[in-house]
Amino acid sequence: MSFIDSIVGFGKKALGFVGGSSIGGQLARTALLGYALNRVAASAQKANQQQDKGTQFTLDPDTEHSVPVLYGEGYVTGKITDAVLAPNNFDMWVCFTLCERTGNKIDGTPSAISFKEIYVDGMRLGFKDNGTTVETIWDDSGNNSEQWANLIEVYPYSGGSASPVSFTTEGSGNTLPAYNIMPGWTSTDTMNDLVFCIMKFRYNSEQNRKLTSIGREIKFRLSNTMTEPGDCLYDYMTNTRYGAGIPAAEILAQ
Amino acid sequence: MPNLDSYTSVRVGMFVRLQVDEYRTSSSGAYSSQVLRFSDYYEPITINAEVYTALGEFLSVTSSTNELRPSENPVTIGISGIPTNSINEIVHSKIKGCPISIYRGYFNPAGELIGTITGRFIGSVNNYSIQEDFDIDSRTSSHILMLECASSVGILSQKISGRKTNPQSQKTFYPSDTAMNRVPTIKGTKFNFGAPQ
Repeated sequence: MSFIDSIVGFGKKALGFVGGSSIGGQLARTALLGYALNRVAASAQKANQQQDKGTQFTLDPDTEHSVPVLYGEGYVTGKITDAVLAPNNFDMWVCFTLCERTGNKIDGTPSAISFKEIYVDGMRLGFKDNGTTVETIWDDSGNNSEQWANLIEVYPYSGGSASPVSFTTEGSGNTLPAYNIMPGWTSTDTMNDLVFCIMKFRYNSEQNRKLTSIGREIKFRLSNTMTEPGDCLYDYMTNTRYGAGIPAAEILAQ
Repeated sequence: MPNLDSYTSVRVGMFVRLQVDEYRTSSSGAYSSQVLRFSDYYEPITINAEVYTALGEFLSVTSSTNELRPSENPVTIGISGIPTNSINEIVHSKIKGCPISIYRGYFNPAGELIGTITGRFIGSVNNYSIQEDFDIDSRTSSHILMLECASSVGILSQKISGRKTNPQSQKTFYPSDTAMNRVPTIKGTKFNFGAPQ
């Protein structure tokens, strides 16, 4: 007789008591049934609590939003002009259109708009060595955290889909055309003469690393090399896309 | 404006420069760019290396108010004595919208320019009309061309430029760009971010 048989024998003794017709046996059966039901209900409730249903939201693109012109330096919130949720439901791609690309200065030098900083819900984003993936975030008081590390990626463009740029604070950064980044875009999605940014958000519901939406407000700090009043006025007067379209020959610019 | 204090009499000349980018002489002719320069002076005058044809009394320019700030007041230019066989040039050319400039020069009795030619009006041809003047005695007719000119200030005050974040506006400037095509579609779309598959 092995120890296995001993275990079976012990079980039979215990069940013999529970399976008997005595009052104690009936009480024991009732108690066991209640306990089993209680465990099943608790297990189902726990399973329900652990099932993360994600976040359902709508975006607010505006078909009547006028694309602004930025001279000097400033903060721009931009407008969403495209959004794609990846098939896994965890990666959200959003395109923010920020401002127009400006023209040449009076001396003929092309102006350039660069990205200096980005804020998500008031938190400034800092990047990993690749210049696009978020690593650290800072609040206004200078406190930092890595709660969104690897959850957000930022791809800025200045002038069109084929003009990737990097944040001025980063040594490296975005080098790919926008139509190679944004899902569903092709080479005809050119975003001509626009300054815009593509962002990728990865869903995460973990405590202390929560990212379940794309934020209430995303703000970009941009800087235009066109800062002199004369250059700005001249550009605004002559530009045929967003300005007055006055022929340059009619303006005595020096 | 030049200082005229030391002159007892002066002669004023109005000089009109009309740039017609699509000018042709018949309905089937090819368009070409033509700059029309004419004045109400009695003899041709050269300004900025461009000769202004003297029309004398055949040219009239309505008065304009002189204001410190740029004015939106329109100006009407009348050119009379146009022969019937020249009407085709006016009708078949695209004069509406053409840029027009009016300059003014002051001359002393000897015909010498006082100071420099100054600008009086810069704008575009808003509309034009042709009136026929029939001479019964000679049984010939001539025409008067009236050019209604809108000031650049007036045009700019009504001008709306720029683009909006919608596909129609984007395609106005860049017809092949499809990047804004999805803006109307994603408005109101529900995204189940992080939902189980």
